[in-house]
Amino acid sequence: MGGNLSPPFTLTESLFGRVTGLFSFLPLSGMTYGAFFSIIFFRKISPTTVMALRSLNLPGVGTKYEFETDKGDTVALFFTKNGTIQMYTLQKGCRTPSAAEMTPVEARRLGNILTGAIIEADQESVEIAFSALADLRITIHSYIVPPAIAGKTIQDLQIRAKTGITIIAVSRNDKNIINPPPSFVFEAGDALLVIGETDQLQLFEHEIMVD
Amino acid sequence: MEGILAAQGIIIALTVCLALAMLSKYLTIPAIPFYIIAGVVLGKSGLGIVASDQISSFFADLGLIFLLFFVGLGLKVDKLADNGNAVLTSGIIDLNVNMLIGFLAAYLLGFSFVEALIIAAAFYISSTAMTVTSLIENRKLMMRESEAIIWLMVFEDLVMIIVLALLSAGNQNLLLFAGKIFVGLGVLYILAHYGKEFLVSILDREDELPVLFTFVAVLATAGCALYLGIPDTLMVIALGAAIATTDPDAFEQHARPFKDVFLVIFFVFFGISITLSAGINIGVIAIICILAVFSKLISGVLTGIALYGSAKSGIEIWVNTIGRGEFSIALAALYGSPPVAATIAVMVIVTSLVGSFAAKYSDQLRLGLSGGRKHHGPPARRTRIGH
Repeated sequence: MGGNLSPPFTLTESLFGRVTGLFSFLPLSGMTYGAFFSIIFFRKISPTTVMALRSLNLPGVGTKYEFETDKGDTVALFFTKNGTIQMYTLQKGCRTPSAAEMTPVEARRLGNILTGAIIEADQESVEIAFSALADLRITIHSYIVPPAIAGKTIQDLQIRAKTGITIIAVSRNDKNIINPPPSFVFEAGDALLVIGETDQLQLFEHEIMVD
Repeated sequence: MEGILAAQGIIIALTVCLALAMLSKYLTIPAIPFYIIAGVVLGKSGLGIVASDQISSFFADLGLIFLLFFVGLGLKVDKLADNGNAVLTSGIIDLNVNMLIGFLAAYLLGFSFVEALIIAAAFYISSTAMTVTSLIENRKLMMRESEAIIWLMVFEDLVMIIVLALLSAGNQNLLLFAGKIFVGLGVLYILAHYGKEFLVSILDREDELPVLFTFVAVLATAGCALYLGIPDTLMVIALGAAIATTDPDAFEQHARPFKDVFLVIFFVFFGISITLSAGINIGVIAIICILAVFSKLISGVLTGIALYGSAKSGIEIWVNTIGRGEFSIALAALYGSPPVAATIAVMVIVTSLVGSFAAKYSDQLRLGLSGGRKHHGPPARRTRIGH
């Protein structure tokens, strides 16, 4: 391999020469390594203290958030650099965490579920509180139009007068209609985005969105 | 458009690499060994379809330069210092065990002193990309060992920079060499420091300027360094580190497409340049490959015991750090003689594949290894996080 060795060199022959050559280095390197390892093994790392939520930046990976619940379970979240979010949960006393990988959209969905009420799987709501406006609490809720009201307009149903809510957007076949006019005709399966107070939304749900 | 045909070798090689990259993603194993194997098959040791020329070596150099630029961008010395104790412990164990085993093995097996040093460095440095991907894909980020592993990679990057500096010094006058490097570093830091607002204003734009700026900055730095006789590798890393004080994420985003494409060209043409015939002893390469897998086991277990008092933690550190990759290839391409390059190439292929499988089946591995010791009382008290 090196220039000094002829191609048909045998392993044992070269090993012998090299080992004897190395003896001259051994005392010095031995001492150095002894020192290194004695330093290392006499110094134990103390376990990190438990904190409510800790976040840290892991080079090359992304950001980590971790917290322990009162009951001793641990939740850890990683926002990785390739855009996915990994959530790990570790039950107290368990050894292996379970993990779920999410896209940003899925993670936001999970966030919505955790922060607000969600009524059905495909209907979600977000409650926003404005503390500056005497604790005004506004909820945005999505609904799927039932067949019963298909073909009727917003005006026909007198939605505003009866319930007080406002329909701010309609999603139909992956197209969004923002601020639909009173003459807007519902179709079964339309997804509505509705804004109002919780009571008004309940009224809307029971009076208008009936099958 | 006749000019395109002048690069037909690159087109063929990249097309093959694209297919292999898809395959490797499908199988969730690292792509680097595939690129090198593709290069060997296409190149002079194999079918002889593609040969390297000026165009390909320009692109391959770009790949290497952008890889090093990324190393610089990710260099967070201050954060490393915050994690002082643990990083230092694992870093020093890893460095000493693997450098020592790698050097002794290569030297005893007949490589010259300098060749053995280069093999030792390539033997020592695990692939950061493979490690991070393995931790994410195998859902291992929450393990307590993960943090130690990630910081270990940063430590290894630092060592690699020092190794690069030492190797590139060569036979020059060391004082003059160090002086030149310090002047170069100083200029870069002054530019990054006083030009910070300018840099940020460029990066905030939506047009072609941010990408163009990133590309030119990297290329011009490398060009100036070569012209002045300072190692371009070091200066590009320094550029990354200096620029990282402004907005590293933005630069990463703008430089990533260049790195992704040119680095593949670098790997495949490294494979193409390999000569498997001249003075290669299969036995020697095999021994080095086996040692490469097991020396990381030794350093991993020692680290596991030193940090967590657990050899099992060491296994977890081991499986995620077996794979050698981009940096080993870089060392081989920059400083390796043909036999050294061939040895390192085979080592990278073997360790990256072994590492990928070991990481996937680490749970079974640990069960297997600890099976005989189950009855030794209850498991050690767990710290907050872990397995």
